[in-house]
Amino acid sequence: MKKLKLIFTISILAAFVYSCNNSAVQRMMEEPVEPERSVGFTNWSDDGVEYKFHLGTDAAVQVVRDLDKVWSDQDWEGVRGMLSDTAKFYWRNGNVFSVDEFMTQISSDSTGSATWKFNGAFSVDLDPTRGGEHVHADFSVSTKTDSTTVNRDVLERYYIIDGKVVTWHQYSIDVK
Amino acid sequence: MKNFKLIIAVLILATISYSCNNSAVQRMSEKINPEEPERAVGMSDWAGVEDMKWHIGTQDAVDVAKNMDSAWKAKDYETMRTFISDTATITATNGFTFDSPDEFIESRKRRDSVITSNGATFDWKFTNLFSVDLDPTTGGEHVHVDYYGMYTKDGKEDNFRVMNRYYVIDGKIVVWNSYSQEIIEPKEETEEE
Repeated sequence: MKKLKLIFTISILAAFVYSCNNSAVQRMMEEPVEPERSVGFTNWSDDGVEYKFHLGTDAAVQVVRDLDKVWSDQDWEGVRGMLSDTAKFYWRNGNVFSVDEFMTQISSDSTGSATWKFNGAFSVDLDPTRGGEHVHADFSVSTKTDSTTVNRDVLERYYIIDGKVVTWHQYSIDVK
Repeated sequence: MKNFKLIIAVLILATISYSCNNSAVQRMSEKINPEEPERAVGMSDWAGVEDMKWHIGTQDAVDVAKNMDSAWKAKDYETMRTFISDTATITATNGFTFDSPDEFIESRKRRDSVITSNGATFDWKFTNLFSVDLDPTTGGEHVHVDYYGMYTKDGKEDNFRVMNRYYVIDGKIVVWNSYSQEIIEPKEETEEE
């Protein structure tokens, strides 16, 4: 009887030790996954919430890389296929184009005189739980007009939803 | 003696049980908090960093841009100067590169003075502000600041957008490039997420 009591006591002790440790496993399982780090600020908000910038995705960056490729190849249908029907283009000189106006502009001779180098691209996102990312791309552009060549660095910001460009902002700095 | 053997046996059993379970805790811990670098996206073709992708930057770098902006708004040129490295390269949208940060500060003072004497106003508001970093293991981040500018004279308002890109190291701006976009007809800023 004494032995039985002892076995019983030690078994309870062992079960208790196991149980405590097992709770730790369970707590770790239940621990929420921390959202990715975000920085900065924006005054864009459609719901009063203050948003910060998260890192975007390679999928959105790839849209811009593909767009650059089809534009380089002068595959205008390919370019059109990557634009939302309601897309808007804010050119560095202040022109604002609809999709049709934009397509007419880029397929005209004006782009034939420009060469560019794609320097880099990344994507940021204000709310990763919703669609839409801001891809920033950096180009060095040379434009020949008559006998002169104008060099500019161009920053482009694309708002991309579901693989299509919805807004396209272009900024530039002259290179001397 | 028999009891003692039994106690030892049960204790060994309890230890094995704890040990197995503790390994599970450790495995879980490693799975949840892996020592992996933060996620990175995109591409770079800049010489020397062609194989790197972009990470999200830090709030410290963002704060440099924020504090610089506050000082500029307050026309506190001395404080502005403290956020700029002595060897900084500052290039305006027209491609003009200032000889030194001091020359840049002096030009701001002159410009503000001309604006005031012309009875004009120059104001701006932040639209977006964030920082990205190609290599978080070495110093330096690229802070992007998006402004909506308003220049008013004789009741006429001229609007434009500017994106300033600062390369910030140790709390100081080392490279400052201003990219601009004209606005022909002012429109409400588009809200985007």
